[in-house]
Amino acid sequence: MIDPLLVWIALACTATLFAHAAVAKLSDRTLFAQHLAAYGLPHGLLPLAVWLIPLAEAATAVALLTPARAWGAAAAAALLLAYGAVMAWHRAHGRRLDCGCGGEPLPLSWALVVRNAGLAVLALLAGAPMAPRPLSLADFLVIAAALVLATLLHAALHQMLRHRARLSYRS
Amino acid sequence: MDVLTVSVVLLWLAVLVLGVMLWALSRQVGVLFERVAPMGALVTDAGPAVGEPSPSFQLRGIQSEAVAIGGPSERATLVFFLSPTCPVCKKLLPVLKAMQRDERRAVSVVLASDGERAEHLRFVTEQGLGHMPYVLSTELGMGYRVSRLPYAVLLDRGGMVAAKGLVNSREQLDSLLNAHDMGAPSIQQYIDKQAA
Repeated sequence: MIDPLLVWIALACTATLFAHAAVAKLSDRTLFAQHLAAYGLPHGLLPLAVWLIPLAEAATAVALLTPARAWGAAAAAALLLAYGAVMAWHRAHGRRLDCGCGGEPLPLSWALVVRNAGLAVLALLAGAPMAPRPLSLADFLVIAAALVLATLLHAALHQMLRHRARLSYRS
Repeated sequence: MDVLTVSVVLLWLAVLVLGVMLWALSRQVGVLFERVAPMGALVTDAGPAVGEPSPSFQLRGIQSEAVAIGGPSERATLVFFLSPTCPVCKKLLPVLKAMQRDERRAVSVVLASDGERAEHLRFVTEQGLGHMPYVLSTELGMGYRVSRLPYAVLLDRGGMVAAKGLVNSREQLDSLLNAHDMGAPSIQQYIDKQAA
């Protein structure tokens, strides 16, 4: 049994992450298809995957906020670990593809694989059983603040990885 | 409100402000990169002549691969400037693919262009160019003074410009490689050397 505050913070962060990922992919499907092709997905599967993957992500985000939370969390962790595994495979073969993590281009790195493993742990936490404790206003404020902080740190991490990539290529 | 509550609230505020500042700082670093980047292009103020060392470029390919142009390397490098909207370039793509396949040990082909990344990624996917490095760089084109497409620059192993020019056909592309194989940058020099 884990305190509901912790579980709710994990839930809010994971659901936001997946909702953002789904919207980013659906809003530029041609770019997403190019990323998939670069990652080595067979061309025949592209038209299907371009819809299936973002919809799976959106469904995961929605499931996390319903009573089927445990399933949503399992799906989220599975997706994150699958992405992480694919990224690790390409990186291990010396390829630095564009990560396709949304926003500006970002080359694959081991840091992103570690990031995905960390996010998968967070997703599993979001599916953990909650100790019975009524949430107060203070709990909600902490959840909101934690979500804002997590979003900022996630964005800052991506920016720093981009800078690191630029430094290693320019000099 | 006891002291613990007040201090936790204050700490949350401080951490959030620090988070915003970290994010803003990392953005500003990105902006600085953008501002500083074009300064490198000013170093090369003229197109390098045949037989002269090429300026060297450390570029990032369209699929984030590292591409080094100029300087000593294992193989000769053919830099091919193209554009997705140029029909002659498309006509030469099969020749380049064959060259990449047949002359893999001797020549590495680098495709170069500039403009919108998404458009070029689509072009790469459509034409099946994923196995060749593809760079988007205005400074590369400016470095070689490329004004018309398709344009090719051949660098030898030492990073010297072995041959360059506008290429409109397979024959012209082959002539660049011949110039490299014979060690003569132009047909005139080749004849002079034979006569001497």
